[in-house]
Amino acid sequence: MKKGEAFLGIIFVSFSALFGALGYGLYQSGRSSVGASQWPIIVCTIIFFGSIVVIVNAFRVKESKSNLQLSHEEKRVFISIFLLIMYFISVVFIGFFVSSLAMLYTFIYYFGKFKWYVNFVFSLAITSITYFVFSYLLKVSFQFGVLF
Amino acid sequence: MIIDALLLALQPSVLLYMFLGVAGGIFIGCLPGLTTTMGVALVLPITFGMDAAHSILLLIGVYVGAVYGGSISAILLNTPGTPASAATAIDGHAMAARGEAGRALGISTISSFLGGIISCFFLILISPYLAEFALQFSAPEFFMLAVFGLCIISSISGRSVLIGFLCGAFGVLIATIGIDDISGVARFTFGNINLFSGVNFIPVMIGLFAMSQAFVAVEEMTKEGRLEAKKVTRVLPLKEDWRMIFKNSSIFGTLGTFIGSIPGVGADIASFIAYGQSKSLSKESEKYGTGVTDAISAPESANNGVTGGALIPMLTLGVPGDAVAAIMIGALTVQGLQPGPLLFQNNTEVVYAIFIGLLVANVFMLCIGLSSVRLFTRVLIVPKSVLTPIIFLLCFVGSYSLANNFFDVIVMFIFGVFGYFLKKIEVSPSPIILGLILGPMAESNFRRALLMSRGEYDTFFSTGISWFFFILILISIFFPLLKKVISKLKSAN
Repeated sequence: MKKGEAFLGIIFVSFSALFGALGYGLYQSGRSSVGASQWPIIVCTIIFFGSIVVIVNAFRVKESKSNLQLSHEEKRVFISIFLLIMYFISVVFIGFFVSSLAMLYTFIYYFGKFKWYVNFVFSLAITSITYFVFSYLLKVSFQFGVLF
Repeated sequence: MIIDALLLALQPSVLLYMFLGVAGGIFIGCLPGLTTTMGVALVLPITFGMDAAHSILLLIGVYVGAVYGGSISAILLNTPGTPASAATAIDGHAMAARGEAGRALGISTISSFLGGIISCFFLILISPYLAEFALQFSAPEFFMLAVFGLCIISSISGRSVLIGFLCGAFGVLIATIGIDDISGVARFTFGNINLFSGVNFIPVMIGLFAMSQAFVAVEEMTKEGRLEAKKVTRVLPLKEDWRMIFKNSSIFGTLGTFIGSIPGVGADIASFIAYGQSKSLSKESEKYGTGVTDAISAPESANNGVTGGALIPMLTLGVPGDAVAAIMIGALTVQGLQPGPLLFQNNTEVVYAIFIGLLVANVFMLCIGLSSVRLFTRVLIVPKSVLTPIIFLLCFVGSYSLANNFFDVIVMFIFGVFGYFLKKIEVSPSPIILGLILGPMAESNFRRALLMSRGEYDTFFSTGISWFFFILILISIFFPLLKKVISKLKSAN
């Protein structure tokens, strides 16, 4: 079985079933004028049946037994995803500059082999340049959190 | 009109942005792991505050620079900076290994320049006529065109035709979220006010192309050894190379432009086709792989030929030639311009400024390439451990700055993780973006055609143009399947 393709098929089936049901509900409620629900239903139908074919094909293919455990590299990606979620939360509650500085320091420390002060200088410089360019030159508002 | 366009494209600030764009593009292109699409996606948010000319010409600069920049690391490190330079690495690095790195880079630079210029001339010659022809299209023809764009892109851009189609259809489905333009009904918004205006495709693009690529870079971090580039002395081809460069550039620059104008076929495919054709035309085909000059010139002129070619369907029909052209559609849309035939009527000066800008960007590329390659070889030592967190930060800032809305960051992140998953199972995320772009075009024209014909479906086959696109749709669907069957039969024999 090709697990990845089967999983992708399941994602698509779920989406098409959900959107198809909602589209049908829209049609039945009478709130939909000409075609507002017709187009999504057509697309959902195509995705639904196509995804079932993908799932069936994925189960039919014999793949050599793969290890279910994540590799060291994949673990690092998942840790990065987790750290980024933490970063997004901290941006909202703490502030953009401080959170970005902390995020960059953490990642460069995690990925690289620099001395702590080199790491800090890199992080501070990158955050400051980004903040300056986007906040002052491009007028992007970073009004987040208790700090800045 | 031409004078207006010249004044627009040759403003000192526009020239400066283009120069920086080309330099930035070469920087992005020569770093292995950073793709052209990722580079353009990361630069896009910077253009939000600019006017149309500054914005699109900066992106064109990055595009031209990045396609060329990939050849630097391909030749010096045997590691293509972008997939489009993979064919160049074969003979380019072989030449560098025998101490001819400067000559190889010179051939690559001049060929890229000539390929880009040729594609630019085709863009200037063909686009106005194609746009004029497209003015004859009404709703059924535009619907057929959008479906054709979706079919061809999906069938080409992945290892599985079906999964490609499904990804494209998934993009179309995502595009239906929000208030329906015709009826005003809220569709699939789940009561979330952020979804009322739909899912903006710019955060989706940043997620799928930049964030997901950064995750791939995280995964490959330990595989990165110390990069040792070959030393470069003089970046110029030899006297005897010039004839070969002009010959190859005229043939493969034209080929690249033609390939680039087909929606979904990008610079990577063009460069490999050019490499293969050059080999089959050569009298010394057995020497390919050992450092043959033609094998550098052909793919480089073809991949830069794609830059102008990809803009032809984008500007004239509103159908992106490749993922970078899709991002440029985003940039034009943000500026309130709608790519397509009407762009040539309503914003002629912007269109001609794009033509002039593409020419100027190629000149900048030539100047920077010949004078500063040694500087860019230093870029190759920037560690991924610093570069990847910067990309994370730029993805956040880029998606947020679109509308100062944190919801866009969440969308970017979700699609970034999804894009990483797709890359893990070797599925191209490009059809999703193209579905998002072509979906609204397909839907609005589908419904408009039905409204005009009072529900008669045969309106989609009422004109010769519709039939033409319908035949192309059938070919694009069945050709990959037919190819598979033929190759299976061949292998069985």
